[in-house]
Amino acid sequence: MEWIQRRSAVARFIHFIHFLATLTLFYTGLALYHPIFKFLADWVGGFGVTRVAHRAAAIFFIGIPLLAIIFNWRGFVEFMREIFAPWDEDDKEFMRRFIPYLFNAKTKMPPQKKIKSGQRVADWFILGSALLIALSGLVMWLNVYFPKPFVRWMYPIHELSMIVLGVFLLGHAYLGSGLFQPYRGMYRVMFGNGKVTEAEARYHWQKWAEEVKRK
Amino acid sequence: MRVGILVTPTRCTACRGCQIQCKNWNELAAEKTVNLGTYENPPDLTFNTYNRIRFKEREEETGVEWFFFSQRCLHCKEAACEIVCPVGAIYHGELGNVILDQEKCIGCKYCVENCPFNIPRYSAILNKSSKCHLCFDRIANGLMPACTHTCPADALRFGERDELIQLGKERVAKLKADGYKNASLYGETELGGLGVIYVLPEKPEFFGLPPSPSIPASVSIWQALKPIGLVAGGATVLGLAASFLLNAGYKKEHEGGEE
Repeated sequence: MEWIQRRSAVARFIHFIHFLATLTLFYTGLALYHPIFKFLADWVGGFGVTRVAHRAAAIFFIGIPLLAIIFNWRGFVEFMREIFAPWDEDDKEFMRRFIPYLFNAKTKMPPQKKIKSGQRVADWFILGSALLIALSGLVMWLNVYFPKPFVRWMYPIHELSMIVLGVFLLGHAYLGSGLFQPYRGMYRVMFGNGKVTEAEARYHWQKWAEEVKRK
Repeated sequence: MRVGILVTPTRCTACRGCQIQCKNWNELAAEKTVNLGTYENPPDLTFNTYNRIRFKEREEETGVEWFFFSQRCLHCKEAACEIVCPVGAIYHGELGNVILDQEKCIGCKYCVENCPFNIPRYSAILNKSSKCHLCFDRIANGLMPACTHTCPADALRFGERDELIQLGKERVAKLKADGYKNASLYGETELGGLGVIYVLPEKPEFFGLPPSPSIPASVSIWQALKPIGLVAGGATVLGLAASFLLNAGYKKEHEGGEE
């Protein structure tokens, strides 16, 4: 079986740290989001613990991507180019079939480039809401330096971006972990050796797979 | 029954016995303050200062007119602090007073940021917030709040809210007759009716009070998002679970599955 490298060790490491930070942030944030999640705080020793952990995790949530952007500016630019690339017919067709595909894996999906069009749309929402949640969170943290009428708006912005981020990350986790049948084994890309088999590559990203083979 | 305090700035002599009695009864430590070039002291409410007299002055043809304004929690019926408190530490007592339970407070500062009157204060040392609770402990035992108990000028009067409003209206009428054309009763209907009602000799803005206070729009949106988030998250989980169950056992072509 032939293996193709899809994600580097550095990318996997960054993803893993950010995964831990995000998980901590959601756990500790949900505890305060609604009374029905109060048990989350009780499990770990109360709101004193969750609120400190929320800030500690926030440092990694914001710091890790910042470092990644600074030290791998070219990689960042390339990533931006990929997710904001112009759409062709296959990309549009992929989006049209994506929801039916989720409920019927037999759906034939059009060939895709390195990042599927659906993943690109998810990336817009994930990056956008992550940016908003980070900025609003920073203002809430440094509240004494901002006027109150401004700080007040950060709470709904923080929670709205949390809802958007949460919904997309649930989908991201479902697909990426390979719980979704056609995505079985996909966890290896970020949580394993970073490789996919040629057959997997052809199934998921046919255009990318052919491009890699040509080189 | 709902109780309250009627504040009449034109009766106040700025003796500030109310400040002292409040600290005395609530065992609130005194704090070092700074001289800002005015008799007003302390310069702001703090975690340990639930009420204070603000000095507002105005130049008249006859000289300077001084107003002494008691700044404190207004015990709103529709209280933004109570709405935003995520742990239910802020609640309405039986007599309409808004009480902050420091045992439950987790120091999130939501009340500090969202109060339309900028009243609650936060202590970083204790990681708690505090504010006036209308001496709910004294009222429950048949006493009046400490500040009203000590006021020698009837500038702070404790009583049944309906009666206070009647008296307040009379005092406003008297002020108007005396030439205070901007006099008004503040708190009768604001935010569902405030527990602290002011007989204002000037416009509310003059004393730093919002002319028509309301629950901030951001607070309403924020609270509405909570059930929306639960539904969105729940629907996503259900949808993904359906996807999982519907595709159980599926194999791709290269895994030996059929097209």
